[in-house]
Amino acid sequence: MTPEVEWKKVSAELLILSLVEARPRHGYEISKLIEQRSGGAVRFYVASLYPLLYRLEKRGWIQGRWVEKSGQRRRRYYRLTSQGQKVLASQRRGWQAFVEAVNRITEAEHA
Amino acid sequence: MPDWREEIARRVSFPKLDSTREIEIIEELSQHLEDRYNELVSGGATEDDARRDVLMELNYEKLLPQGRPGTVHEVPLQPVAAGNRDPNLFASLRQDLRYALRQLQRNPGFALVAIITLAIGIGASTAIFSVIDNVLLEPFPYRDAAHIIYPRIPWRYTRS
Repeated sequence: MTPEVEWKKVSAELLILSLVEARPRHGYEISKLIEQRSGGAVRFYVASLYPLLYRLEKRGWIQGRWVEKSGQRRRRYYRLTSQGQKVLASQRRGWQAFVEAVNRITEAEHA
Repeated sequence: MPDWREEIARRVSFPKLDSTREIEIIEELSQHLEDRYNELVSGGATEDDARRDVLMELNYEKLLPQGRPGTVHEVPLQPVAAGNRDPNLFASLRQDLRYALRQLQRNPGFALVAIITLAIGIGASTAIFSVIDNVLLEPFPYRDAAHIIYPRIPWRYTRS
């Protein structure tokens, strides 16, 4: 796997895990939040979002559950598992270190 | 409103997944597409444009690498020109059969009525054919029954 693919993969996982940290969310809500909070710069299409959700669920980092609320159709909500919390904390640290390193490299040099 | 389940079933295959999980995934994806479609329409898009955009989102990229358990991947649709045979006939047939089975599973009442109707239809056709065969086509239980003749002498030759 090239560094670019690995970087995108980890960042996509980090986005999903972060969004289900506070409370369970369904897939469409996750995709809308990513789009809204990034100001439209980042979008997850159906074809990429759900396979990622299923992969994270298979790893045990998130858990999906059908929830039926009164007057609404049932929806599959994803919540962060305890294992997912550890992975999220680790990925956050790694991402923060990566961003800081990139900033240090790319910041303008002052003579 | 387009039938999103049908669109998904036509475009996406689910290798190594049991039918229950497959139905759940189709339900989940169809909800997402429906929400997106409603959002586009309420935002001013025409129904045709919204449908096209939503389907494009579904086909945006390969859903996942093939062969990985618990994942899904896209099945490319190959247009077949009129008069030409589908080059992937058996794959298409298998997909149609799986889709038909899924539909029957979703509507057990309809499936039961369809099966009973087919059984009665086949049974009735067989019974009618048996009667016609015995009465009209092969009426006598003799060898070469078709060669048996019924001689008649016209009345004018019998008058002396």
